[in-house]
Amino acid sequence: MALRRQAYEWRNVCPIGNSFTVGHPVLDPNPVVPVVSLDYETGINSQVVSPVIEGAMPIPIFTGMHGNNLKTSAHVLAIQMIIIDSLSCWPPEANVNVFVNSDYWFEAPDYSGINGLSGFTVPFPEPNYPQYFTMESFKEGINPPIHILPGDTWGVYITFPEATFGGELVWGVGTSQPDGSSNAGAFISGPARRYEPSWATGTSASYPLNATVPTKDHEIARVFVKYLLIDGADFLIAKKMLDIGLPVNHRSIIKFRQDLIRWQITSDVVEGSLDEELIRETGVTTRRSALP
Amino acid sequence: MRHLSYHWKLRPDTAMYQIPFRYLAEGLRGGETILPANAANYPTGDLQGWDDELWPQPNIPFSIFTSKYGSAGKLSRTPFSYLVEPLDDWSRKQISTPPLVKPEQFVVLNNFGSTPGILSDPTISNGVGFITFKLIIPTLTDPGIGRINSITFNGVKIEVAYGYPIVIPDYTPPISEEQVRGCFSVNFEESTEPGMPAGNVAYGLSSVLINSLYYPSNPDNYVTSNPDNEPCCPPASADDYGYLGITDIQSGVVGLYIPTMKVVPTPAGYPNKGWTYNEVFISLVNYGVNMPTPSLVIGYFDSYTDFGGTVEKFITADVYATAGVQPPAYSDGSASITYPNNNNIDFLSDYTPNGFINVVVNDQSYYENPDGTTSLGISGDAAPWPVEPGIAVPQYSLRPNIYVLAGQTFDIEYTVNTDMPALATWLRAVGDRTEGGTPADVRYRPATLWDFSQVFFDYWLFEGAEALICQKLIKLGIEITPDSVDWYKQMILNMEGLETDTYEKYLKLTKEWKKRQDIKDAAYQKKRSPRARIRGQRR
Repeated sequence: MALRRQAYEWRNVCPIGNSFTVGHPVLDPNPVVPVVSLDYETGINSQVVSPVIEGAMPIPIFTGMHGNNLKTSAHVLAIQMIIIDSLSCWPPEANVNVFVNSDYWFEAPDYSGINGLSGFTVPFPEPNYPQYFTMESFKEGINPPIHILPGDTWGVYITFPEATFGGELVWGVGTSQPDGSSNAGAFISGPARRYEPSWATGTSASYPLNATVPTKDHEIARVFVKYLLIDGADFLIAKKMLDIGLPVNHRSIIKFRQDLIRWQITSDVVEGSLDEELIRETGVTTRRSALP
Repeated sequence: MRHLSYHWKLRPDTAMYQIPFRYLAEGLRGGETILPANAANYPTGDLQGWDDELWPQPNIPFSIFTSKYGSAGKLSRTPFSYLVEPLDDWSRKQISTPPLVKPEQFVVLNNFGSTPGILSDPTISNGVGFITFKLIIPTLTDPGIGRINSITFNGVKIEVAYGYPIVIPDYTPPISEEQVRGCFSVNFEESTEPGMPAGNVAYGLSSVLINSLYYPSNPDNYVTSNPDNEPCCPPASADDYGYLGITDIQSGVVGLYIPTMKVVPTPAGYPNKGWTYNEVFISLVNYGVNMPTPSLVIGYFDSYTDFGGTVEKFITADVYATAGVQPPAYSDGSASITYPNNNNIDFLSDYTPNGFINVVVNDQSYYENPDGTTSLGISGDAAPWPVEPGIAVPQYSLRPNIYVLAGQTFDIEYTVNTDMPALATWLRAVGDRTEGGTPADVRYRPATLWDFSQVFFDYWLFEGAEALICQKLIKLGIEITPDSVDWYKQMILNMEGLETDTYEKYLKLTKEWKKRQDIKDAAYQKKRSPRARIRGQRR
């Protein structure tokens, strides 16, 4: 598999009692209530939580201990290369940025750090609740794309302007309440949740983390990263293209591969004509390229 | 060359349901064959019927081709079942082996999509828990033998069970006797206790109806033999067998119960002398708000002897199917049956699968995480199906395509992350006394026949000479599409065959292809907005 279209999706959602899981979590749709209370309808998905995210705190989506995480940090093998050509996130107030080794990709005009692309610019998914769509300039992804070369480490951060998902849902209100007050102080204590239904365990436990119980998909923070994973012979081609300054994306790699083959055929043809000359003049029947 | 697609769908065709609190011959039916020690503790009222074998375990990828889950099974099976019946894991497989690309084939996987969504957002619809049939069967008190000749449920004939042992001679050699089905005596008091003691009681109307209507079949093994080899009564375990007719997934077919019946005084409008009136209440579990109104028609002889009956009469059962309303009392005013929760039930449906798709070629998964571990793949939100208004271009599309070469197998693995088995556990616990629940508290049930998840993918299958062209195009580094294969075929047809200058022709072809691509690219740029065009030209 030389040229693979990959994607990674992060969601700030996990089973109650956790702030993150390795891999996408199994979500139990049942209420966290004793069976005898019969509170099914109002308690649907109450075992699913969005852990609180502090404001102005970049959260790594791979290993940030929020939502679904990876076992280890993202890395690229010596025979691989990654081209990140599309980023998107949710909610609109969130921002997404990529770091490669020690540098952020998106920065301010004065080269200072910024939070990155906002969900207003590149929302995920489409369609979505308020019907925001990707800006025309990002419809075909990030251009030029971000190259992650062999040996690089990389990651993606999501940043919220204010604390979010802590007890109350901020998204949809904006960065401040309608009365002008800030939301920042409202998330000190979240609702107490049980780890497991008491009817299953016979006991109840306090939920130590502040979190929100999302009731709709659009209340879950998300990041979607689309990238090309290049290895094998195509990695050599991509590396060569980088060396000579050609743009590298999946179309250009395929084109360059065609060119290489065509050039090889060209040289074969030329060599063939040279061979004919050699055979005619010397009687040697070995191809010129095979001669010592 | 064919552009093919595959559509996989998982929809529950089994139903969870609640059985009435008390019914005739309870303790003998299906999953309740274990008799309770105390009649007061009969397990009736619990929710049952969830078929765990048909719901995928969460977070475990399965093949949409070779797993037992989903649509288009090779063999149909009982759509509703509350029995732990023999399950053949292979019987529902659409394809028995992973798709293998044959030597003369070439496959290009083009794109896929699946049901979007993360959180379960079920639809909750209120409906009636049980539908009730009520009918009165008059029988002449003298000689006191009637016969049920036909039972038609939802237009499907149900074979009537054996009952009172009336036999008629069959003079076709070898001469024998044939037992008549459906005869019953009005003079035997029926038993409502398990397990239907053998003897006279089995000759009554209730045993005929129970043995005819109850699951799973009504075979000839009802006929046991007396010492003189005459047909006799059903054994004590008669209720282990019943018959429901041809299954019809649009209607409830399992779930018929006879909660109560008795001989009543002459109802209004009937002759008051010389007749015995059996009033029968039959419950039918409702499987969803869209279930059509069922019907039950019984054909009977009000008198029957060795010389036959008189004229067959038909009675159509009255149907009561209003949520929040209990069925009527007996015609004599005595109480008939009371359903839990005032016969209300909330049906749950349209749960979101929270699913992911992965592509597997041979034994290698296509999608991996940025740390190199295998990922579940692409979510239904990134690549939704069906595509709804508002989705300009799904965030994910499979570009470049995946080529599956001759000799390789490919598979589409789907992973569901909504824990549906947990839903069944939770709902069961509501009515389960051992979990602290109470059968009378059952208010929710999963509905039947709604789409849980769907997967779609499309691919190109190239065969024969076209597969060879695909191999050649790979060698030339040209993307394989119907367009490129067609074009190359046209070129070949214009060539003369393998000559010494074949390589030069290949060179010309690849140059020609490049020219063609350049023209297409230029045309593509022209269609785009000025800004995008400028950006594209900079590439």
